[in-house]
Amino acid sequence: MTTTLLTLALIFTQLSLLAFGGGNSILPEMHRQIVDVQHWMTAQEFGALFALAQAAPGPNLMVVPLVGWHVAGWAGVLVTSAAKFGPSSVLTYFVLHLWNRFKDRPWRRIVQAGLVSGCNSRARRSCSLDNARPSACRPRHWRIGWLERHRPGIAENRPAPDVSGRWCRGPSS
Amino acid sequence: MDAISPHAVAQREGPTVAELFFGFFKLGLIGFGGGLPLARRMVVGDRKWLTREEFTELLGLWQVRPGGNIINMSVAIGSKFQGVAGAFSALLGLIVAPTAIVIGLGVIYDQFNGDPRIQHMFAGLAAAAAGLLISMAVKIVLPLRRRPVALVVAAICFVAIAIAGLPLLSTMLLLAPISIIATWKLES
Repeated sequence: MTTTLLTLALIFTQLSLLAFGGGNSILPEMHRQIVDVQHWMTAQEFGALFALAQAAPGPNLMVVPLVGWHVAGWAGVLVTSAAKFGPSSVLTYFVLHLWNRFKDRPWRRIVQAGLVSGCNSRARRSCSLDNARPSACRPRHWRIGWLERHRPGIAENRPAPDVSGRWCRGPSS
Repeated sequence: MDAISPHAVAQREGPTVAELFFGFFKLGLIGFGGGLPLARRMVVGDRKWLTREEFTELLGLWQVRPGGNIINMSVAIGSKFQGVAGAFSALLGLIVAPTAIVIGLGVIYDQFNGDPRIQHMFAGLAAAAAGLLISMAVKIVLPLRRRPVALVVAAICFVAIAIAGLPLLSTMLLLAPISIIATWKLES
């Protein structure tokens, strides 16, 4: 039992740190480890658990605690959740801490400007991937991104109708 | 409408640990499939915990690190207002209800696993979930269609993972530098 929990912890910690570009990018590796390497369940069972997790509300990848539960009960739920959500959360906490500590340094402003424009192109992409409410989320992200890069300060106070038509392909929100 | 006046922003107070927990608890219950736009509406619009600028800045910070966006966001917002306790309560609030629901469904699945009708139902659900993943993959690949280098790298990655069954870690360690160098040399 302890070995199983330890293996679960190792697998999901590694998956957690590999999850660049969204949780779904680690699904094939999860499948490989759980079905092919550890033989904890068949490919059909994994598919069924994944479908179950997709049908439930909440963040992506709720298949993680479900796999933990299937393999090792409640202890498995705790171990997989902590392994999957723990490392990235600790990292987030410390990055944010450092970020605030260097609030007044000039380089922070430069990095921040770069990150914001980078993140807007990503937010656009993740919005177009968001099949739940495409028309509701797309235009607003685009408009705000453009405004914050080109007219700092304006996005806060005004909805800025003058640029919306140019940047929204979907119906205006 | 989530427009907020600067005056209201100046007067706002940060949420307590309990408010963080219940705010993200609600988000966990309604946010199907990621839910970043919903999170934005709650944090900036309904509860006015952050201004739009602060939200965009946080978004930029956590996009460059691994991990689910919404998970990282709950930690970032929680720690911003209440330190470690806030980070914990926001994260727990976000995942506790979905975890309970998903395990409840798992119990039902195990109970009726022998029933062929249930098996067929889950085969259908799994097919639908696989279809959603394929559509997501197509949407990611489409913007690359005018970039042959990127398409070749994507094809090699697909063969390595899906057909040869190689581990993700070694594939990424090998392909990421190759992809970066190839893009740099061939596309500039």
